[in-house]
Amino acid sequence: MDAAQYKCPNCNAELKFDPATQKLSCDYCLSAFTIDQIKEIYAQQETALPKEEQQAQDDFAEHTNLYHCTSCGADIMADDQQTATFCYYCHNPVILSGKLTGDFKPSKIIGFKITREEALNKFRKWVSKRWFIPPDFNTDEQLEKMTGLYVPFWVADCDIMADYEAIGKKIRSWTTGNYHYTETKEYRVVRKVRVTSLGIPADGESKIEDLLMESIEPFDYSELKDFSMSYFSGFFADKYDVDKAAVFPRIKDRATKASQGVIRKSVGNYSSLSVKRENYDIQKTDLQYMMLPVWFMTYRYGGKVYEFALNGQTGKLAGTPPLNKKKLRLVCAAIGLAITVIGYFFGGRI
Amino acid sequence: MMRRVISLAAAVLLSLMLLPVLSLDAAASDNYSQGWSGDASQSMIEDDYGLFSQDQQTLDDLNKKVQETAEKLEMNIYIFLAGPDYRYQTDSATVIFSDDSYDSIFGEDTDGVFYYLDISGKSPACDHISTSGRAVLWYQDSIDAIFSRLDAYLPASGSTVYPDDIAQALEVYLGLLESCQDTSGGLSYYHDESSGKYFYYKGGEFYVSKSRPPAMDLIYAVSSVVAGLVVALIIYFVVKRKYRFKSSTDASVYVSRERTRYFQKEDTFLREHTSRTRIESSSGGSRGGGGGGHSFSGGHGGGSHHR
Repeated sequence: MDAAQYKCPNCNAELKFDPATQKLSCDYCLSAFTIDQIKEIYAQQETALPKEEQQAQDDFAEHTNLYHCTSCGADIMADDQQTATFCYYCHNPVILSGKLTGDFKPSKIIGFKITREEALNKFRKWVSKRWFIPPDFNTDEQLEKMTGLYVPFWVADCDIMADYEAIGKKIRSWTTGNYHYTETKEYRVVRKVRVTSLGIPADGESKIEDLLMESIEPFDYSELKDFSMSYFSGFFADKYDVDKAAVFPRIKDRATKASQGVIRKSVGNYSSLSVKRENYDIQKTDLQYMMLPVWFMTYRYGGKVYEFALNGQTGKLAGTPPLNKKKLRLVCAAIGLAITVIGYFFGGRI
Repeated sequence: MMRRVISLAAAVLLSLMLLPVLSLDAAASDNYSQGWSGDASQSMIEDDYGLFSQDQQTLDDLNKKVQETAEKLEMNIYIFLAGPDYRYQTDSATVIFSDDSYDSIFGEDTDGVFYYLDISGKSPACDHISTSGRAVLWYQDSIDAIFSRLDAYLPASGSTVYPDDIAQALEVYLGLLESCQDTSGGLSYYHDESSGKYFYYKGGEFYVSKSRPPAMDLIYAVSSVVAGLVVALIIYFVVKRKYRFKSSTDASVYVSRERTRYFQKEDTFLREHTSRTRIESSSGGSRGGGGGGHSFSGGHGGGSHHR
C-alpha cells in the first residue's frame, strides 16, 4: 500500500508507513493508524457527505468569485453580487481570477456584530492615546481602508496528556528570641492529567501576522452558525493558504502552553519547584474550518506595513502603532534642552 | 503640533547659545568686590589680653610691621589677641566674631585678613584666620600650613603666655602672609555658603559675586547637558517601548475545566528540616549641634585651628 496516498484524519498531514509498528503514522500530530483503520475512515468520509452538504459546496463554488492581487498575492473572496476592487492588505487593484472549488467552503461562520462606525470609533479612541503617530495615520483617507474581512481560521479541539513530576519545597520562616528559624518541607509532586482545550484558533492566512490574530481572541463560539453565502454580503473574505497540516504545530504549541498553565496552577502553593519530568503528548485533535469576522486595516510607513485588527464580534483591538521617530526625537530633544537650560540656570539654587 | 515642537526646540537651542553671554552680564552686574582702600593705617594689633601693656614699644614695632606688610601685600591685616573675656566663647562664635569684626573695621568684601589669636585661657584654644576679598583665594590652600608653622611659636592650651613668644609668632605670621600669598588665580574659586557669595577671577578681574564662577559654570553646563541627554534618552526608549506590539491572548482561556480530568494528583511529603541563625544585634547614637548668626553679609573664607 502506498502510504503517501493517505492523509492524517486529525491534521491532514501526509501519513508515513512505519515498518516497526506496521502502522501509518503522522509526524505532525503523532497519531498512528492501522491500514484497516485508515481504510475504514476514508470509506466513511466518502459516504458521509450528505446531499445537502454537497449542494452547499456546489452553491459556494458557483456564487463565490475569487480575486487576485497581483501586487501582494492575496486571494480575496466575494459573493457574486459585489465586486472587489482593491486588496484589503496592500490597497492595490485586484483582478477577477475565477471561481473557487467547494473545498474552500467553511463549515461554520460568526457574523459581524461590530458595525463599521463602531469599529472606526474604537480605532479613533485607541489612536487618541498615542501622541507620536504619523500625521496621516488618523485621516479619513486612511480610515477608508478599514475593511470588514472574514478571516479563515482552523479551530481545534485538543486533548493533551500531561505527565509532570517535581520536588516542591515549602519554606516557612520565623524569629524567636535571638534566633531566626527557617523550616523547609519537601514534597514529591505528581500530576497526570488530560487537558481538553476547546476552540483554539489559528488563522489560515499567511499574509496576516499570527500574533495579531491571536491578540484579538477570544471569539464567542456560542454564536457560531452554519455557513451561508448571505454572511458575505457587504464584506470580503480571505481564501486560506495555510492548510490543516501547516497550522497544526501552532495549535499544538498553544494547546501545550494551555496545559502547562493548568499544571502551574495546580502546583502554585510551593515556594520552589525542581522539575524532574514534564511531558505533554497530544492525543486527539479535531480541526474545523470556519470564517471569523475581523475589521482589518494596514498602514504603510517608513517602508514597513503596520497591521491593525479589530475583532468583529467583541470589538477587541490589536496592532502595532506606527511611531513617528522624527517627532519623538524632536520632543525628546526639546525636553532635554529644557532640562539642560533649567539645570544650568537654576542648578544648585533649587 | 510639529510646528510647535520645532519652535520650542529652536527657542531652547537659542537660549542655550546665549548662556555664556547672559551669565557674563549677570556676574558683571553683581560684583561686590571692594578691593583695598590703600590705607594701611587701620591695619594693626588689638591687644585685648593686655599682653603688651607693660611693653608698648614692642607693640608699636609690631604694629609698624603689620602696616608695612599690609602696604606690601595691598590688603588689610588685623590681629586680635583675645583676652580672658573670650574664654568661654564657642568655636562657631569665634568665627562669627572674626568675620563681623573685620567687616565692621574695614568694610564688607574688602581685601584682607583677620587673625584671632586665642590666648584667653580657653582649652583647647581656638585660633581663627578670617579672609575677605582677594585674600580668600590667596590663602584658601595655605591656612592649615600657616597654623602648623605657628604652632611652634605659640603656647599650648592652658600654659603660661609670654609676650616674647607671641611677638615672635606674630612676626612669623606676617612673614607667612607674604610667602604664602598665592596670586596665580586661574580657575580656582571659593564659595561662602553663609553669604552665598563666590570668589573667583574671570577675564583677569577679581569677582565677589553671587553668580557662579566660570569653573563651576562649566561643571553645571556639562552636568546639565548630561542630565538633559539622559532624560531625553529615557523618554525616547520608554515611548518607543510603548509603541511595540502587545502580547497575545493566553491559550489557557480555551481550557475546558469540565472536561479536564486528573488521573493522578499527589503531593507526597518526603522530608523536613529546620535551620536557625543567630541575629546579630546593633546599636546606634545621635549627634546634634547648633550655631550663631552673622551681623554682616560680607563673604569670608578662612579656617580655624585648635591648639
